[in-house]
Amino acid sequence: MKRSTSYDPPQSALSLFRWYCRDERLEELEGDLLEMHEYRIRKGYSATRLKRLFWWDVIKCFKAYSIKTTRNKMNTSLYQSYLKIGVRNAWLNKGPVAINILGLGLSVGFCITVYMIMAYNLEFDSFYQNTDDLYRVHSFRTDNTEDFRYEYAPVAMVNYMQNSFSDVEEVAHFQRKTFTSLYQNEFYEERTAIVSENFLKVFDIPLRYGSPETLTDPNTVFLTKRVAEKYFGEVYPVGETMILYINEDQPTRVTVGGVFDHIPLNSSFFFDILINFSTLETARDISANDWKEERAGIYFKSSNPASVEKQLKDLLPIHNQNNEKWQLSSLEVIPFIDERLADHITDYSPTNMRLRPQVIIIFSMMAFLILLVAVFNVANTAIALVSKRLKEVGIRKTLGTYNREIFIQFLLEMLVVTFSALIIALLLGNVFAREFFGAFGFSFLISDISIFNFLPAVILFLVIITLMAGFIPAAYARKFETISILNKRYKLKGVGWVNRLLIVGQFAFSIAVLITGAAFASNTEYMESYDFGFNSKNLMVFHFSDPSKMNGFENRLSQFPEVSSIIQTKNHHDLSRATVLMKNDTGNVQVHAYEVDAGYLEFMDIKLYSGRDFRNGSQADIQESVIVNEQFVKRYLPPGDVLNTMVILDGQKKRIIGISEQVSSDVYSDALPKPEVYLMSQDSSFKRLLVRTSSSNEQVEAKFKALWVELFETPFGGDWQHQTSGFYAVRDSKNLKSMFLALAGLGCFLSLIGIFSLASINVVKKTKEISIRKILGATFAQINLAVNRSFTIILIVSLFVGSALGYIISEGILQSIYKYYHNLSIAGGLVIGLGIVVTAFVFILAATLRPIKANPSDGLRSE
Amino acid sequence: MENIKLGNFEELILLLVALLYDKAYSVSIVEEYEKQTGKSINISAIHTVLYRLEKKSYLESRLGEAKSERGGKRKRLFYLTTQGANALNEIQNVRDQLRSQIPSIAFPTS
Repeated sequence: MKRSTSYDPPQSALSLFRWYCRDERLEELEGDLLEMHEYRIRKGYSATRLKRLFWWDVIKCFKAYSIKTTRNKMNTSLYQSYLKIGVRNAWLNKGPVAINILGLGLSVGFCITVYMIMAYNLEFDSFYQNTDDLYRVHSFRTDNTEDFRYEYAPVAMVNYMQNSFSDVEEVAHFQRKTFTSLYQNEFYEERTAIVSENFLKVFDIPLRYGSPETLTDPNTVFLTKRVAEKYFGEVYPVGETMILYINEDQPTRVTVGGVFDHIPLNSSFFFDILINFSTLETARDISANDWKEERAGIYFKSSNPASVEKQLKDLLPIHNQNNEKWQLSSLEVIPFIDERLADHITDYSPTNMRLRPQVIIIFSMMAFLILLVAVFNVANTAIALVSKRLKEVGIRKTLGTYNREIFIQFLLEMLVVTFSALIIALLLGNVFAREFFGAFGFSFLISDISIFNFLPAVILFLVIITLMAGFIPAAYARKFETISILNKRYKLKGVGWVNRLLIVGQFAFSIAVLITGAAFASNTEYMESYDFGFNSKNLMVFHFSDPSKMNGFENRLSQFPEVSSIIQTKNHHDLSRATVLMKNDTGNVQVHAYEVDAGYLEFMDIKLYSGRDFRNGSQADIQESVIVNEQFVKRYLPPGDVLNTMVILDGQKKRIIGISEQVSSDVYSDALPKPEVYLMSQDSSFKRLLVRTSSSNEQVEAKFKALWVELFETPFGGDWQHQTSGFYAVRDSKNLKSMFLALAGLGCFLSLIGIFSLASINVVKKTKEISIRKILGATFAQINLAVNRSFTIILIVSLFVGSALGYIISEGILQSIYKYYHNLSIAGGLVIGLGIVVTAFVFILAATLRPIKANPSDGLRSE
Repeated sequence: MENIKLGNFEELILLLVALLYDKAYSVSIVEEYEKQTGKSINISAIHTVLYRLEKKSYLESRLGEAKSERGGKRKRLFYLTTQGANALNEIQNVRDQLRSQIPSIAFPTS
């Protein structure tokens, strides 16, 4: 029978088989494979299928009965004993090894947290399925020459898009507000998502209980699992009711329609509870066709986003016509999941956002440096421990061990250390992440990131740190020369230049991080006492929607001895403001306006450069007076005396009666001084009650709360001003302070332990030198200087490098976050650095004290 | 049946070896298995079981003749040992014994 060669079994597969198959079974097994092949040919299989099946057979036959065993068996048993020796040696040197494992564990734990921060971004929104044809709408606006990007637009636009955009399949909206809920006489603040009724159709968020269809029922609420457990515990939550203060004066009774499974923090839509927009519409008496008040993030499904974007451009004039105080310059369509979103940080979005890339770069660098410090320490200690085992290595080499085997043995011993460290790190990773995200009021844990990305990363990491920490000691042990070891002529190497450089790096890093932590500590203090231009101390602000309630509350409150003054106002700094349109040569510009009562400026300690405050009860001031701030004068008015100049605000002529100081609690780097005006307002429109107290402690707050409970049934409506103004700036500064100080603590701990072990090795190497010097009459100080000279130089260099680095890092980070900040002086940095260096010297002395004090004859006899 | 450790598949292969007396080797067993059960099987599964059964002394083997379709390689022929035959009998006895005791109401035979 003649046939084409394409039916021959693939030679490469056959070679592979011959390579792995043991000799005594090769003949029968190869014969079987070939006969199987012939059998399949007889069955009429195609050439490609035959080939594939033959390969499959070869792969499947790679089993215990066929593979060569002898050599492998010996090797694994060898590696097993290496591991055993590694564990025993670690146990023998419990102290240093434990410190190493702990130090490495802490550093790797920090690295895992940084990985989680990275994963937060990398896996952002991976929670949502089928997002390929989903898009976001971004809007752009220019206000006072600043450009803003928002991920929101009027809710009215959603209806318009749904009805008249041919290419939009489905459009949903999402906004987030904080509402107070009442359940069993307890008030809770809940981050509430307010969504269109098709939202759960567009975004598939898995439900644990209930069904998404019930969202269309009036007054239905959906809870996250955590919130449902908080309210209802073990009780099946669907169908239960609770009270929601959507309207502060009129509580809404809502029914639980469903409970979501866990929603991770790194998803765009993050909330505690979720309600339908129509519930908000009814409770607050607003309209979905309103172009002015209600804005939400808009998301649509379409197979032709370009056409939608074009249609949105046409919608722009309609929007601007309906919304003269909120003029948009452009609208843009962006894929729902888009890498660019990390760069397109919006100035406002109701959604969660990715972290800025700078944050990740800063943290990765810190993680890399702290890891380097820890790994270097481990390597150093390992070299010291290997040096103690010279004879073991010498004897093993005499008995015929290859250099390679010694190298592998010491790498495996390092694996014991790094693996234990990794286990500690995995336990710590969650703790660190809880601290880190918790400091900002969030929770993001290892269970929230994808295990399929995390596991390979961890394994790769284990290999890398094992190689980094183990390579030098293993290579060191490998090079030991048998004869000189056994002759006791082997000399230990001194502290080489690589070591020196690494110690400088280690200490410089620790000093730099400590200085950065101290800089943030001083900045926190500065932020807490920062003068915003108004007095935010001992000031509680109450919000009312019913003026008669406010008056009643004010009357009772004014009898408290702790209350020094009270004022009512409509707008208030950092809480609410209005926008007025000012007519100038080029057209209308938008200006921030505060509608206040006479005496507001004095109450808030806002100084007037010139002119006067509003007069109490003066109709003339209400009608035609305005107080403008410094920036307003600079920007819009000609130089010279501007008092009594007329300006046109919202079509009304107003006379400037005073010029006030610039006020701003915005200390962030992108803050610009804004032109602002104060207008006097009618009493009936006041909504806020400002109460200046003698102190802002808990007793005062408790008294206010008690009065509130006595008078009203609604949740307490008071907030301390100092928790509003600049609150985030202070909090961020505090968090960065604790983070850097913790990192500095770890860095210092590792560096000091490191220098201690290095000094110990060094002094052992110099035993003879020390003994001879001693015999020749050298004093303790002289010997110390001679032995530790290199460390002195190293530490002084790292002091200057570290201080400079610390200043640069802290200045860089502060500058990128804040516009107004306070850094540590260079001298302050040097003092901190000096502190570390002095401590390091104490450690060196501690390491060298005993060997130097020892009897010189012992030292000379020892080897 | 205290010392008989025989899996279902192992029992099946033992039976096939007995069935193919003097012609039982891995490829013929694959063919016979496919013919008898209608299911396909990979040859390495047969190899594993044959070598295991040989180790358990239920089978013994010797090398047979070479053939051109085997690329001139000899095949390994397997034979049932007394121990293997005993094991098969034992299993069969236990099964028959159990079956005979089943009340006809619980397990109608055909």
